[in-house]
Amino acid sequence: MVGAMAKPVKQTNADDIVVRARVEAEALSQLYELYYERIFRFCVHRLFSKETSEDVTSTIFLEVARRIRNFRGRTEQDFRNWLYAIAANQANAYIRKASRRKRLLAEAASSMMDVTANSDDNSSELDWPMLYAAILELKPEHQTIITLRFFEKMEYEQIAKILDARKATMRVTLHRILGKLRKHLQTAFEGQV
Amino acid sequence: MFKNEDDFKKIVSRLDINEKPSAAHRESLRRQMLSIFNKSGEASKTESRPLWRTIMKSPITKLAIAAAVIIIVVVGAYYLKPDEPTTVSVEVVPEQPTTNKETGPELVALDIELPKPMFVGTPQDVKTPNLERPLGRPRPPFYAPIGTRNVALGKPVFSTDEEPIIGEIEMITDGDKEAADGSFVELGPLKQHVTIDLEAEYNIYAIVIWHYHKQAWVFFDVAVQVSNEPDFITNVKTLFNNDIDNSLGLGVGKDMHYTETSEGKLIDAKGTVARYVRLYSNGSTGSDANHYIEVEIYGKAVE
Repeated sequence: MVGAMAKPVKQTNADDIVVRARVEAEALSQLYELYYERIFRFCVHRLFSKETSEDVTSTIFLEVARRIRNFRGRTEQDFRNWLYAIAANQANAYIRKASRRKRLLAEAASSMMDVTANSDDNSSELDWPMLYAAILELKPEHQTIITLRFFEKMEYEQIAKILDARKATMRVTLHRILGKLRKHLQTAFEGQV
Repeated sequence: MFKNEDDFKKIVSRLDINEKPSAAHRESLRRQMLSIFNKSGEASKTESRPLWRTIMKSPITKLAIAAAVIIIVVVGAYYLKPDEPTTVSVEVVPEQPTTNKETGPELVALDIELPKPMFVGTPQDVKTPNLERPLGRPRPPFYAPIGTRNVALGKPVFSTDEEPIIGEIEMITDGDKEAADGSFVELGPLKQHVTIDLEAEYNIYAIVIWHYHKQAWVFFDVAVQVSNEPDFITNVKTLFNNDIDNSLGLGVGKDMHYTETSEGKLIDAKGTVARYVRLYSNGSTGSDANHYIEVEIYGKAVE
């Protein structure tokens, strides 16, 4: 599980793969197999569109291939934190371009309409496109925190390590972000009614 | 609507998201990735270190050079000053007197307490244009009238980013200049500014800024303005501006980019009278975000 957190440090087989991946293509390939789906899923949660997620997933792993020889971590946890930090930066860099942000919003809005058109009842249950549109209103860094915490199910400590911040700061920041998200969603619901 | 984190978790768990990747993309990406990895390995093999560099990096070479320098200094001292005693002695330079004879007895060197350095030396950044060269030694003392003190300590701060990504705005004037996690505030990306309200008019002599000295970053579009009006529309004076392409819209800055160190950046405010100090930045070489650890404003109440 991605969110499995800080256990006592002991050398595992995965740690050995991480060390070898700096010089061995075979070990890097094993790490790729281990993390491809997780990173792709992270991208889908950040970028909504599967096509865009494939592009950004490619950018992330190609960046890993270029930089792994200089990676100094020794454990799988180190690698995971490093990989997610690259993933978060790449997703943020993509979203920061205003035009792309508009396109992602348009895709989410179009999916929202499809869901509403195909739905028999008028329940106010929150769906993924609507939630995504609200998440996209947040700052890119805040979007990362939401994704890591709720979609990747990570503990505060690990999120803090990935984002180079304090655990306590993460907790407070997330509380604020949820408040903002609630407001965005309320506005979206009121707009629907 | 969700009420708390647990509620939100439940909502997320009920979402129907198609997150299955395509097998074709997975395989094609794997091939590309391994190809880049193998190429980078070949490149690093061919980029072997030149012999002269290996020699120059050797500790034995360094020791030999140090010994040669000492011998030259001793011999030089012997021949150039034959009347002086030949014994080499280390002269202990007494601490600078607090008054400066050149500028008058009313001026004293500012006592700026520096945080712990996070790296040794100043790595040379060759990519940033218009970058000033590191001094290579501690900053010389800055003289200001007796009674000048940090008047920004604990004063209110306002920002274009009301909810920083990390930390709180108040940390900019909390007196903590260390670069550790928990000591800095990270504002959002792109152009941002913070304004410190000194709550009264002061003669401002120096402004010292620590953006982020954990690493040798260079912050872009750093500008410092002072005013007596909180809106900075009239009566504004620009004390520093290194915005070389006018992206802030304050005019093209003629000051140089500088590398962050634990000494902070000292800006001579020349005794300007003002109540509000505004600091701009636009990301750095290390991040799109804008960081502040501490800002100190050395001034004296207007008489």
